[in-house]
Amino acid sequence: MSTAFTVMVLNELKLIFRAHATLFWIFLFPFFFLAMMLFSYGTDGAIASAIVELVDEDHSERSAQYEDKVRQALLHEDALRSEVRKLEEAGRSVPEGVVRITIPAGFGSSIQHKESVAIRVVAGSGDMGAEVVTRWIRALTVLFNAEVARAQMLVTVDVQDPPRRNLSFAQYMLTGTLVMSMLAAAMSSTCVAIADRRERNTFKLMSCLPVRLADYLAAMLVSRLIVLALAAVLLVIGAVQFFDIPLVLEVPRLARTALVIALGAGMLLSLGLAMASRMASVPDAVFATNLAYIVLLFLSDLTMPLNAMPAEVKSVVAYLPTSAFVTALRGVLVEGDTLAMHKVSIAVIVAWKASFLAIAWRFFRWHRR
Amino acid sequence: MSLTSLIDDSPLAAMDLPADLLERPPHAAVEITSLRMPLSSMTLSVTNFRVEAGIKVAFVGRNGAGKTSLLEVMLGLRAGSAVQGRLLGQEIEHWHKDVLLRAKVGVQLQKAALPGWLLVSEIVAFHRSLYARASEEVLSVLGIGPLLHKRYEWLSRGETQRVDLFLALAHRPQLLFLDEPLTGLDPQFARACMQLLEEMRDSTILMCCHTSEELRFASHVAWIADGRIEQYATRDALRQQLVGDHRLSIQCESDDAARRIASSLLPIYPSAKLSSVSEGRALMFGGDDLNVAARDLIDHDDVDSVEFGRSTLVDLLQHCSRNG
Repeated sequence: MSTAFTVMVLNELKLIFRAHATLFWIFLFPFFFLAMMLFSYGTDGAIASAIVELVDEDHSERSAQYEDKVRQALLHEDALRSEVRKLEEAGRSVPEGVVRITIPAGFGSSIQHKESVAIRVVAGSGDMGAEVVTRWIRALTVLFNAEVARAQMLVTVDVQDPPRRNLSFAQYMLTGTLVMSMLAAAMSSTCVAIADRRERNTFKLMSCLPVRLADYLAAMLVSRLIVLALAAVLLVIGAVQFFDIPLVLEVPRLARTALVIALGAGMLLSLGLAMASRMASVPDAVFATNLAYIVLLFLSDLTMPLNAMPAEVKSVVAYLPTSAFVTALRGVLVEGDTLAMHKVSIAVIVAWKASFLAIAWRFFRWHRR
Repeated sequence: MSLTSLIDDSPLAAMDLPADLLERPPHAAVEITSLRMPLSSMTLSVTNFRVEAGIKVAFVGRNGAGKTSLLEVMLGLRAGSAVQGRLLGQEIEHWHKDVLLRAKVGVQLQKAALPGWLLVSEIVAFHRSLYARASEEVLSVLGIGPLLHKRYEWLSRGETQRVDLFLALAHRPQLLFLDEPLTGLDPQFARACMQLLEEMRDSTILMCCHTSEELRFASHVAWIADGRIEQYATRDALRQQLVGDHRLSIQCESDDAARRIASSLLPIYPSAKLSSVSEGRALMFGGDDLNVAARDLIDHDDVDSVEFGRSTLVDLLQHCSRNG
C-alpha cells in the first residue's frame, strides 16, 4: 500500500471520528436503540407469527370439535400472531411460514373405539412461529384428551418436521440493530460524503494532484469498512457484556460471521456509492439516503417484525439487500449455521453488490457539470 | 475572432498568422489545437492557442467571460468538453489519466476545497506523501506554520487561499494554473506570493486575473470575451493596442464640461479615444502627442486639473472588463 493511500485512509478515518453526528449514529445509537428496545420489551420475549392451515380428513363431530378448539385457542392467544386457513385437502407442500395441522381420517371413530390416533403437524419452516404453534398444539391436545377421552392419551401429536430455530427477541434485536447501524454508516455516510466532496469540488482538486481518483474513492470506502468492522465488534461485545444476550463466540462461528459482515458491508458501501453517482449536493444526498434507510429499515425485518405482512409480500421483501444480510447474519452468528446453509442469502448479497457496482460504474460522475 | 498564435511582441502578429509561421518549436508548455465546451450562456471555443515554456499568461475579461471555465476545461475538469492539444508535450487526454504527469503541475482553483475538518498539518502531510518533497521556503513565505493546528474549515478566506497556494506551489511545478491567486490575501502575503511566482522563472504559469497586482506579474495577456480568446499578446503590447500608450485625465466642474473639452480634442489628435466621463472627469487614451494637449489644457478656464502619463494595467483591466 502506498504512503499516499495510507495517508488518505488515515485522513478519512480522522474525518469520520471528528464528525460527532456520524459517531453517534454508528457507535452510540445502536447501543441506545438496543438498550431501549430490550428495556421496553424485555430480553426473553419471542418473535412468533404463523399461518395455520387446518385440514380435516375425517369430517366427523369429533374432528370438528378438535378443529374448533384449535381455532378458539389461536384466536385468544396473545403470544402468537396467527391466521387460520381451512384446507379441503393436504395435497401440496407446506410453504415457508405456514404450519399445517391435519386431522386424519378415522379420528372420530378411533376415539369412539378408544384407539390411538395422531394429529399430523408439518411446519414449512423452522422459525419461532412454527415452534410456538407446535408446542401449543401439544398442550391443546393434552387438554382435548382430558375433556373428550377422559384422560386417556388417545390423541397424540406427530410433528413431522420439528422446528429447530429459537431466535430470542434480544438476539433478533441485536442482529437487526447491527445491520441497521451498518446501513446508516455504509450507505448514508458514503453517499453524503461523496456528495459533499462533489459539492465542494474536492474531486476537482484531487484530479489535479498526482493521485488517482479511484484510489481516493477507495480510501474513502476502506476507511468506512474499518469503521463498520469496529462498530460491529463493539456492538457484539457490548451486547454480550452489558445485555447478557446469549451468543456462542467460538472461532469458526465468528469467522463465518466476519465473512458475512464483510460481504454485507461491501454491499451496503456499494449501495452508497451507487446512490452517490449523480448526487450534486448534500441536502439531496441526505434526503435520498434517509428515504432508502427508512424503506429498508421497515421492510427488512431488522428491528420491526413483519408479523402482519402478507406472505406473498414477505417472500418478495426477503430478497431486499438488508433482508438477505440479516437472514445470513442471524443464521451464522446466532444459530451457528454453515455458510452453505445460507447460500441463497449470500448469493442475493453478492448479486446486489454486483448490481450496485455496475450502476456506479455506469453513472458515477466525479464532478458537477 | 479566434486565437491563432503569438510569436513576438506585436499584438497584430498574434492574429491571422500565415500557415508557415504556425510551424512551431517542439516544446510548447501548453498547446490547444481545439477546445469547445457548451456553457449555459455561450460556447467556450478556442483554437490554436500556444504558450511557450516559461511564459506567464494572464487571462483577463469581465465576470462570466469564461476564464475559469477555460482553465478547468484545459485541466479536464468539465464533463461535456472536447479538447485536443498538449500539456508539457503530452496529449491532454493522456495527461488527465497519468498521475506522473500530473505531478509536474500545480493548480489553485477558486471554488475547490478539501474536506473542512482536516487539519492544515494533515494537508501538508498529504502533500508530502504525494510529491515526496515540499519546499520549506513556500511553507514559510505563505505563513503556513501558524495555521498547522487549525482546521481547514475554520480558516479565513485569506488563510484558505494561502493553504491552497501551498498545495499548488510547494512542489515547484513546471506548469501552474492559478485562478485569481491573490484574492483574499493580505498585502504582505500578496507580495510574498508574487515573489514566489517570480522566482519560478522556468515554470509556465496560466492564471485568471482580476487585479493589477496579478497582471503586473504576467508577461502575456489573453483577453477572454464571450467564451473566446479575443486578443493574445505580450502584456504591454496589448495595453498599447487596446488602451493606448498614454492616458490623459481632465478634471472639470461637471461631466458636461469635461465631455465638451475632451470631444474638442478628438479632431486634433486622431489617435486619441475618449474612454469615459464621470464625476467631472474625462479619461482619454492615445499616443504621446496627448502630452501637448495636456500642456494646453493647464491654462484652460474650465479645467481644474490635468494628469498625463502612461496608461496603466488597471486601464487595461478596465478596458477588457468593459468591452468583453
